Amino acid sequence: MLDFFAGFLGKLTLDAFPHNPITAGAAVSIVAGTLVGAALMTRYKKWSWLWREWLTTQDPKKIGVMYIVVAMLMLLRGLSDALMMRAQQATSAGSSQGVLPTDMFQQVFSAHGTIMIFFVAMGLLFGLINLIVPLQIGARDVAFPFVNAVSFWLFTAGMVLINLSLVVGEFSAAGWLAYPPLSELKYSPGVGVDYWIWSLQIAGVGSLLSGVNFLATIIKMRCPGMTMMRMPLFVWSALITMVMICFAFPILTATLTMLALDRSLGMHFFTADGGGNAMMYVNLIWAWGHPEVYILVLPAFGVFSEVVATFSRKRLFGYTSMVWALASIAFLSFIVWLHHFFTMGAGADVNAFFGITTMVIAIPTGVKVFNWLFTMFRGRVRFTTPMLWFMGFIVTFTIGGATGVLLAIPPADFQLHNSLFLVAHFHNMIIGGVVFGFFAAITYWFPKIFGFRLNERLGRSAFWYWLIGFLLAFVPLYILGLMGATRRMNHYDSSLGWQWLFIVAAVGVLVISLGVVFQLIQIAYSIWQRKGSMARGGDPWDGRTLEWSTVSPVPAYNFAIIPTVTSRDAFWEQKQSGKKLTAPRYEDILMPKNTPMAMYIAAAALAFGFGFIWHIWWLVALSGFGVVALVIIRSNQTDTEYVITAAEVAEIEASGRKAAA
Amino acid sequence: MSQSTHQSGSLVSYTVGFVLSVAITLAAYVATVNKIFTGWSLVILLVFLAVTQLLVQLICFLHIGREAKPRWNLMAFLFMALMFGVIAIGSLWIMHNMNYRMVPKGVEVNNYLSNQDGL
Ligand code: HEM
Ligand SMILES: [Cu+2]
Repeated sequence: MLDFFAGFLGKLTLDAFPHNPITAGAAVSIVAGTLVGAALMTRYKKWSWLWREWLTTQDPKKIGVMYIVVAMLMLLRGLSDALMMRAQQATSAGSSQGVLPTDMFQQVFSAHGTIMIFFVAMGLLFGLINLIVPLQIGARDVAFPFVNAVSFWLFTAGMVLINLSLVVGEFSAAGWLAYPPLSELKYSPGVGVDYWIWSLQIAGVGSLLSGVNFLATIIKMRCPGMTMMRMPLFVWSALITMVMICFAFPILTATLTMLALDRSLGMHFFTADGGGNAMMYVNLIWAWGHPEVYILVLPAFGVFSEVVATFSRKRLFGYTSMVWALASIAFLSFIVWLHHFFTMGAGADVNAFFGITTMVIAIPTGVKVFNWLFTMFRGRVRFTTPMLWFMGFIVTFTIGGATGVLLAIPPADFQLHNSLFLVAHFHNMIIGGVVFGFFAAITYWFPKIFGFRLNERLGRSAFWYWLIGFLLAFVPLYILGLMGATRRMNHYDSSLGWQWLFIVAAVGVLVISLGVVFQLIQIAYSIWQRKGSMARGGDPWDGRTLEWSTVSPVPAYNFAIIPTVTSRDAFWEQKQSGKKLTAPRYEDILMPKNTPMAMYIAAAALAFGFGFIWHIWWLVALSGFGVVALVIIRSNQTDTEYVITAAEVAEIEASGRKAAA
Repeated sequence: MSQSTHQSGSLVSYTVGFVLSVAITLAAYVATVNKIFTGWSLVILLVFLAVTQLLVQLICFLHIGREAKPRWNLMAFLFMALMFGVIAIGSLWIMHNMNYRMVPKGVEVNNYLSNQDGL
């Protein structure tokens, strides 16, 4: 009997459940958290509300909010990982071995990197694009609403899988990019790397679908009059990012598939023997990986372009050059990937080529920085929280850019590769650039989506804790890196005199954590005190682009009447000329109906990944079939839309305007 | 979105595409596993089959050439060709360079060691 079950569940046995106290604690808190959440939902009878309003929705605004909620939860997870790493390195000098067992430390840095990139930064990115792009182009929806829901749920399925590894089994200990041969079956025989592969594979397919979807949306669904060169810069950045996703993510999918085939079916793409070549993996993963970092940062550039123009009350300086800068950064980002492995042994000619292309990226990036600064120049600048994030960004991003150019010089990289200097550099870009950008965006667009503002004072405090914490946490890493400290290091000799720097860095993370606490308080307090900060009229910042022309919170259909624009900054022009953009004669509007199908498809994909991880082959077959069957069933459904009648539209619009007045 | 109805393919084009795709894939598999071709002739055959596969799917599944505004597609194609060239040629260049420098043949290692280190 027991034997039957053993075979039935593949490699999954009772051993898979956590034994060590820290993982057990994490597992218990995940399970307990889920149960408490579920109990509260039941207690307050919120299940049907959740199902109706959120889980089955196809409204990109709601999907965007869900993306951001998931990403924020994952930020907490990634931050706890960072706290653990910092605790380990602050305590692990000389005879002390620190607080974490070696294997766990490895899992923690692997999980931290993976979660932060794929489930925090990517989640915030897609969340924002869902929220804002349709509004900025004057559209009611995205090109393929159902596919959009599928993307979100695949992202969530990947997120569930990576967190499941805390409860069932273990996570990869091979770093966030799982280089072979270490990540091959021979050296990582456990299920950790498989969790890594399948969680990214599932989320990655979701990203690719989103890329196609928003590319089609931006090209096909702009409102009348909105030519390409009239699009807001955030839309431009989204468009270019989506093109990059379409070209980069297939490389990731293919690479992960090959690694999975190596591990699960005994193939030899990247093994050290059998004709495999591990260097090919490094080459391929970075052919995706470098574009990926620009996929993250370009939308943040887009956000800052909107924020700076709005809060300087000026038209963005150098619009055309901004567009060309985005496009050339995107193209260049596809021809620099070797800078991540200068030290792997290519010749001087190859290294020089990729070193130079890398440095060239600094030029269009510099153009953007100067354009933002010129936009502020002689503007009437209001230093709201989004502007503070922008100022923080300019400082940190410039430092990060300078160290990046340094790393692009191959001889310098030979010293700094794999050191904490590199870790400091990329956190400088990712926290100072991407994360600050997305925080600015959340504060900036929050009133649009929810109809009230976030509290400014708490937002400022959060910003200062983040900025100071960031400097405390990462400036020491530059110094340590120059002193020779390698990354992923779980122990060092006390005679090196490094410990105090690691302690400063640990204090830095604590300060960052305070920043996060302030952000959480800010959200809670702003919801509680929302009466005092209502922005139902929809234009709390005196905005310039179309999204500010609707009432807030934005109705399901976005625009009662599709706007027609005649210039850039269409809403600003309209306010200046005092003309109404449109005459209010409403029509019936068709919107997509809710459906749980997207969730079911992702659930089947989750089961598929889980089956592959644990070699439960019947589950793989069943859920693989399930995905295909569900897609076919959904494709044959015809009754997928509902009507909002002209009368209902008139009523919603009138109540919004009245509340605003 | 609805303007695209005239583009969507018939059952025939999907079936033809599917059958051809399977046939091409099997051909590649059989040619490799049964060692019908080896060395460069195999490489050339596989590249040829891969490109054919690409064309079959473009024509039978994506109905290339029957769309209303071919200019966008043309641009997308040119860009794809560019990216493909960059990544494929770049990878070949890099890997060739690395392999050349990092996996010397046994004879070369011996020569090197005896010349440089006097072993
Ligand atoms: C919130 C503040 C953060 C702190 C305090 C932090 C701290 C750290 C630390 C201590 C490491 C390990 C360094 C080492 O190898 O010794 C690390 C690695 C890493 N972090 Fe962060 N991090 C933060 C945010 C982020 C964010 C937002 C991202 C990306 C969106 C990110 C991406 C990564 C990656 C990719 C690695 C490399 C993991 C690996 O070595 O495989 N981090 N971080
Ligand atoms: Cu790079």
